[in-house]
Amino acid sequence: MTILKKSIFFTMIAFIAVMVEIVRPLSAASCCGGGASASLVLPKFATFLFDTSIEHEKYNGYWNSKGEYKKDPPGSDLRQLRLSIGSAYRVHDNIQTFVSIPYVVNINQYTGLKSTTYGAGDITLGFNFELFNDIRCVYRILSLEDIWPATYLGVKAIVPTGISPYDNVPNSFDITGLGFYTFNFSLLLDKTIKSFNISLAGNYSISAQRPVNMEYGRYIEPYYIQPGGKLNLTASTGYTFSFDSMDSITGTLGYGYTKEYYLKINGIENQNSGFLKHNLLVGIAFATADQNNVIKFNNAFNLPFTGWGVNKPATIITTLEYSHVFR
Amino acid sequence: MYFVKKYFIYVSLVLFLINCSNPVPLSNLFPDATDRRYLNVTGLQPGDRVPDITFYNTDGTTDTLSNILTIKNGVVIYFTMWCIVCDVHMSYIRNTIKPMYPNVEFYLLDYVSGTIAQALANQTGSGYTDFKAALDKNFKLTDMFYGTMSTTIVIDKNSILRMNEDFKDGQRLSAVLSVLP
Repeated sequence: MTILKKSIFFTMIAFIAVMVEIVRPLSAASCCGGGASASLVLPKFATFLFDTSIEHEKYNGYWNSKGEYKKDPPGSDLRQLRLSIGSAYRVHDNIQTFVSIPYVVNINQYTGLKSTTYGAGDITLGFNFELFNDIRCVYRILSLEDIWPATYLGVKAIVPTGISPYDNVPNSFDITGLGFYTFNFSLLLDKTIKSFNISLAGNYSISAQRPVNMEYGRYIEPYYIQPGGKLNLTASTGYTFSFDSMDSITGTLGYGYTKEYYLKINGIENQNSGFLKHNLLVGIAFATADQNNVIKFNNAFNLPFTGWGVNKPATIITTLEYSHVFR
Repeated sequence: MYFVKKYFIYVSLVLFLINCSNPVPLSNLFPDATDRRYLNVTGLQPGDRVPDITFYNTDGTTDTLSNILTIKNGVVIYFTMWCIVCDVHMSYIRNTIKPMYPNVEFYLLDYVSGTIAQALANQTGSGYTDFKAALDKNFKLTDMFYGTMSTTIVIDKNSILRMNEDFKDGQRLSAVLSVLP
């Protein structure tokens, strides 16, 4: 392999690795959920990225407050489709900004209820700061510097443009957003050695307190509510297989841990709130040789067993995503 | 940068279509602390006398409010759809509130299932067979109280409505029950 080909090969692996390991919160959407979209990360040296995705989330029972797994009622079929478009733009050698706009469709059959609702989800926008100046993938480890990962610090805001439980909706299955201004701080460590990749990510979300005077379509005595902080940790690993044409396929396995702490009502912690959830992720990504086009297919799911969550629905999220990079 | 311009045109078009079909609610962008309960559609309010209610129990029997109040000091009705949010509330009622008020009847009212059999299956599947549960046939109670998910009703021994609001964190329910006559 010539030096040029090697260089292209590793650049490509780094690009795919970052694209595949993008920190996805894997959070449920309706039924206490979100509709917020994920962060977008622009590859090093690229100037602009366009991203579009279709996410299908199927609800698959829930864990109660004791951590016991419970199936949904017989005849239930709860789904949410999220169509997102987004972009990332490099504003500085080491700083990029992004925005993602979801559109949400809820398709629910729940015992005697049947509904289809749709609307804008919560818009996400933010910045990622790259704490490295060159591509951090290596063919072999020759020095200490070679094991230093690509490190990203991120900050993003989720703007409550969706329909929340505090709007005129009959139940929690029909919402498209959370209803809170939320700020998220993240750290992503990504390292590729030869064809292997490993990523570790952590992020913490804080939501602003807000007043509420309506719940599920009914005006209520106003009160103030603030969700608890949310911690998300993700670890994933991937392997890239490159074709002779330099097109490539990357397979990824990941694990995610999410914990939300107690929410506050009128400044007092509600100790029946909060949740915990373990996620698993399987993904595959195809990238063209020029690295400008990536198609990803991810499946994030929970194991429907007692002990894998608390106070949270179990879901299966299937995502088909296309990204195009402009140099 | 041609693509960038083109892309923003697409984004603008999509946003325009989103806003045309289903406007972004401003209530979340600019949340409001104003008490607007006077705008609620009709429904019995605290202080109103509750007419005699028939409960269609999931065990196939029926009860009436008047009969229950001959032996109980009050009735709590929780509107449930057996979802995770409801489970959190019902669990709190079971563990924290119900044991403190043995003279109050606690009802889980299923307002989403079409049949008694379906309501019973939901109650059993959710693990709440230790509660009395009833089906809201023809949405009579939903209409009477303008109930929705997690609406919580308290009726005292004299059939006077003491509470009709969302469960929230259960503090209001505890407070109302503690001063029942």
